[in-house]
Amino acid sequence: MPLRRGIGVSSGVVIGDALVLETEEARVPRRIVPRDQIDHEVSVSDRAFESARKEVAAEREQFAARAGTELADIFGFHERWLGDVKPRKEIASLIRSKHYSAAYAISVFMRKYRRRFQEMGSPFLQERARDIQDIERRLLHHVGGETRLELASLKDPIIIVAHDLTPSELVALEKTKRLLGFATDAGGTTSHTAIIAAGLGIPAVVGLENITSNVSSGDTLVIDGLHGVVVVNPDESQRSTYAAEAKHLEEVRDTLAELTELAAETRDGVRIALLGNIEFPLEIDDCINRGAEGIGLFRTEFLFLEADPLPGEEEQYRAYCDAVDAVAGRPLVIRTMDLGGDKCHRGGGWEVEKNPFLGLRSIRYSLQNLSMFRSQLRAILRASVHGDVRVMFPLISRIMELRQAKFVLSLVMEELEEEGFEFKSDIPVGVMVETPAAAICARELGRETDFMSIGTNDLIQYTLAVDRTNERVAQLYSPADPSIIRLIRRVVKDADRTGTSISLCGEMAGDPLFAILLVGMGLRTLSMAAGNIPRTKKIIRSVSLADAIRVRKRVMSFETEREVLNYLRDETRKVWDEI
Amino acid sequence: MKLADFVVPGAILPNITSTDRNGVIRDLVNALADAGELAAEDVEVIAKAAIQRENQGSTGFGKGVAVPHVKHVKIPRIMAAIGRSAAGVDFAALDRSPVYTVVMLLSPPDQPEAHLQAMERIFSHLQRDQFRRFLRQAETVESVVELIREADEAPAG
Repeated sequence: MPLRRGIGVSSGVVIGDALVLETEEARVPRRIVPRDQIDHEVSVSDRAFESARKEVAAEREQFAARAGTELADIFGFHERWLGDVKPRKEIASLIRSKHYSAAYAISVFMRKYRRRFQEMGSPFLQERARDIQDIERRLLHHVGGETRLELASLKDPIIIVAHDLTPSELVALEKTKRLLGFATDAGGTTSHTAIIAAGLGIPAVVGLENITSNVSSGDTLVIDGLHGVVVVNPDESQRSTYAAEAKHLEEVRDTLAELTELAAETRDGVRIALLGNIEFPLEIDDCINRGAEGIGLFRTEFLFLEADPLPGEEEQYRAYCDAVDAVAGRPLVIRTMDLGGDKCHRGGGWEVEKNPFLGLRSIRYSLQNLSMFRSQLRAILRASVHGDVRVMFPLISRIMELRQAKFVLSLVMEELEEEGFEFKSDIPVGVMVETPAAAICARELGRETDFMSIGTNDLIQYTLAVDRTNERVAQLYSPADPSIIRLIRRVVKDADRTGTSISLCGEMAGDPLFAILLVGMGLRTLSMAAGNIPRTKKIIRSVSLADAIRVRKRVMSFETEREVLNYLRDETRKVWDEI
Repeated sequence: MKLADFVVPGAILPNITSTDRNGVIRDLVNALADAGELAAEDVEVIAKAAIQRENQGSTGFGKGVAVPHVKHVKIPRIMAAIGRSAAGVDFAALDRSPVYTVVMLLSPPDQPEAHLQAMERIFSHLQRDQFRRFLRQAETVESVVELIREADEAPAG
């Protein structure tokens, strides 16, 4: 009956039996081998690398066939790492100098290697540490040092409970067709495992901290991926509540699905364009199936995160062309690289910064790494001839940065022209308004851009001076804070004055509580994760512009976040009681 | 990349007398040839290419500054010349104001990245009001060289 809260990474409710995976640190005994066995151990280690690499390559291909090459590239790191000679050499030298067995040498080396990533502190690099752990398990499996769960032998549908799941374990589990959902101690919304789970539509709750010690195999579990809740051994009433909830969710999904073909339009006929936010081109179909009129935010970081060396122009060009093909004539806003802060690509000379979110990230990094920026702009421009492509610069904090970025763009256009490439010379250029500085100077930015998009995630973090991943202050992070509402209102007005089109693409856009308010504030374009489009459309179709303006006026008079939230909840419930 | 890496001190013309755009461009290309950076027989073809580039779209991005540039096989390395006109020259600039400071960049066609880096450096420095003002006021080669040295030490962001 206990209820445990974590982070829901993939919506949906499921009830089933738990299977707890014993995935704790592989205990590999410290074994010293006789001198005449050393060559043998070295070849065992080398062979393990080779078979593990082939195994990953095969899995990647299989996965690519089902989920597309971008998601599958998450395995690219494993494959490249296993193909590298350096780790093999270091392990061989451990065997030769210390007479370790292959298994022990591998585990010693990998643990040291993993620790380096863990100690770097950034969530992205810690995620990498999990990949390393995954590789270690594979290698140990191939030297026969540890047996992995024979996943293929699963008979009944189960909910997996584990300290952590690596991406390849998740994919292997999913392949069994027996996986109902999963719950893990570790993990966060940005982990690869979470992204894959969301992509595959598997209900999951992560970051539960100690779920493995509170659940035994055979326990009945409820996974509520929407609210990030796990119920252990639900009683009869909980069980029927969640079963009803699961059924209800399905019905709501069906109701909303009926709206797909209808426009997002208020009762008095004001059209709101709902666009999708994506990370991978393969997500575009899902957005469009749920009624997106285009893509308002194509984040390009994934091209860079996994790549070492950095992705070349051709590789990027292909990814952008894939996206252009998938949107089929609808608008596609490509945001230039937005790395830094908590996300860094490998190599590239990232230095550890004291305040990464206030450091060399995003457009600042691009402007200081022109050869990377150049290849991205070339790829975007070349893709622009194939559809309605627009380019957007992130984290602009002063007009100078915009001018510099536009200047580089113009030079890249000259280059392409000299080389005889086709491109759209009047490609719409926009900026993200996600720093208080940009919001305050939106009028100036608007005069020099074709469009602006309010990125609320960063705007809220910077305006309220709150790191929402820091649990000690995360409760201070709120889109409903009066300062945020007023800032957004101001940006929308300033954009209208300069005749620049304005949209909002942060998570706030997809939060149903804010839909009426955003329309009332004058926004006519909202860009959000595919899953949020249907219910946002439902709410918009249930109100009139007059209602929305009334709501905005009232909200603007509030002094606290609490009042704003309570009021919005009431108003939203009036039009849609599924909130 | 620093300005001093590509600005040729011998091709700094603090008192340019040509009063038209094409004349200024020719003066600057000639200055680079006089400084031994270009072959004399290539001056005309390079100047023409720069003028042709300028005809496609003005590099006068406003505030009295223009940054003509061209890539050409006859250009052996990345180099820049700087010209200052006290009277101002019509470059068909975006803000329609006369141009007082011209920084011209010449690059070989096979170094597009370095060309971009150099252009970005020039642009960034010229965006700074103080640098622009001092450059416009610099009446001697020495003062321009000194200004470039100072700018390189405190790179524009």
